[in-house]
Amino acid sequence: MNKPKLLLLDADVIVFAHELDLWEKIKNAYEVHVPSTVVEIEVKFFTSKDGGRRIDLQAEVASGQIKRMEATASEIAEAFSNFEPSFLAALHDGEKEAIAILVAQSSPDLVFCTGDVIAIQSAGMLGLSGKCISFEELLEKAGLLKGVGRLRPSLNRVTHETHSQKGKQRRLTGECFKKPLF
Amino acid sequence: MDHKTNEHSIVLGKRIRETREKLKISQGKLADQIGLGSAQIISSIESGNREVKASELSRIARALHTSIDNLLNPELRPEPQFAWREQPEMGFEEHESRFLLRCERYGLVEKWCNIVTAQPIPSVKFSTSSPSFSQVQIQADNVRNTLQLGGRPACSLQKTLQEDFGVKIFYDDLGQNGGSAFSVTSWFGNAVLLNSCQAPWRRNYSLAHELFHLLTANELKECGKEQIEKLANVFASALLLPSEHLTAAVSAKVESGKLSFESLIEIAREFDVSVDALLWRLVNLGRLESGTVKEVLASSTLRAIDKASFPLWERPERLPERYVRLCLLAYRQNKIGLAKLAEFLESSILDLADQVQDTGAELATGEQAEIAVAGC
Repeated sequence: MNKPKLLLLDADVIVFAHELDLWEKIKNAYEVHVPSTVVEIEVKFFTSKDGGRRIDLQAEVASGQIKRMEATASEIAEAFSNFEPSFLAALHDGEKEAIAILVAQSSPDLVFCTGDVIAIQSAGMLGLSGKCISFEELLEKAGLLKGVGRLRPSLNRVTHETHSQKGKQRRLTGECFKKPLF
Repeated sequence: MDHKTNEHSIVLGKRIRETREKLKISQGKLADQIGLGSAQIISSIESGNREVKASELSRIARALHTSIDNLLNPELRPEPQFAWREQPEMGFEEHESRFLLRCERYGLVEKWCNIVTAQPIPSVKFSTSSPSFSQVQIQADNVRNTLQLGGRPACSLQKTLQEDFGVKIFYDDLGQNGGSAFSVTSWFGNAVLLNSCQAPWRRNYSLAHELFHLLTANELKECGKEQIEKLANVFASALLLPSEHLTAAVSAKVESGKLSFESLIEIAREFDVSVDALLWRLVNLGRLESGTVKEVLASSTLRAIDKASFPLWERPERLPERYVRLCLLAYRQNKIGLAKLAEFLESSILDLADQVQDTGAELATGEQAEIAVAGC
């Protein structure tokens, strides 16, 4: 049976999902995609000191548990060509790749989940708010929210909405762009 | 490749080549470092004939001590000039690039946190383009007073330069014989790199020396490099060892017109300078003869007492405390996310997630975390 959504996950969300011991459940509920930079560099491999948490995204890609998605440098350059450089510098490489993948529209059903407010704002600035969801919403839609407790602020729906709106507003005002869009 | 992609690839390839060549890294070595197999692939990338994948780009940027933004941006920033003190013959390019990247990050964090340096660093003006040692000493006294460094300037110099004047001070392992320091001025302001392998008193001297270069960036046009280095040493010595306070400290320890080696070394520690710097300053102040100092410095007894008096010292953290503080502030203020915080703190997102959770560094959006202050 096909899983309900194609989900593109950012590095911080993957770490938090492991922290909350929800990683396996998320993989069961969604068809999880991860940007290549996150798989190969940012969350390459990790075992916690007590051995309790273990992340090996490359092994999960190899075994088909998750899918690796890749943007090109040109797609990144193109996606952010109008961003003001000091704002763009606040985005991490994995986030830039994730958003470039969304802009390139290689999979129209793909939804991006990030706990990084700058990435949320950036998606809004590029008119992609509709393709971006909070970690809280991700859990809720999969029926995984119950018993999770209070999430970090950057993962909840309210924070997501606030920064999504901020991005949309910037799209209109031209703030943080080299040249206004309208 | 379509036209647009081709355009990006050419710009990117050119930038990669320039950055790699500046670092004196061969195509083969870069290919090895980033796991790309052969020099031929790097050659194709640099000539714009091969598209670069995102993860490759990130790896290339890391290997070249830069950011993907710097590689993708077609607009070049002017290259800053590095003023080295004892520049090593080889390998300095990597230190310069790593330092520059850290300074750029520091400048960005200041910008994101809306930090405006309260005071510009005071400039030093000489009546002549080739000043005398005594003119430099007078300027050192002026700078010490302006910076309010007090009678033991080494104790507060670093903190004052960082906190009051926004000077970015980083440490790197330049090795025991790998040079001592350098300074640079660019869009991010003034910055100094010190050798973490050196003892604190040597680093203090290097910092004071580099301060002279920062203060006189556009002066001294008629002086040769060697003369400027001498002037910087005179400045450092006069700045860190104020004549009045040093004279008082020496007088208090002189017995029957003599100063024991133990007392000499104690004074050096008190002022946080090396015993060599102290002795030459005493020559400069007319309290010792240079011939005597040369003999004393050659004395194995002095060296043995000096070595025995070394307090245990630890290497400084590679990232300044103010920079770390501002990074955490930027994170708390939602200016950057966790992954960026990890990158800027040169940590991993996985390690940092635990630390941030433990310290409660994350605040809810809109959470009231401020108080009103009168008169501001």
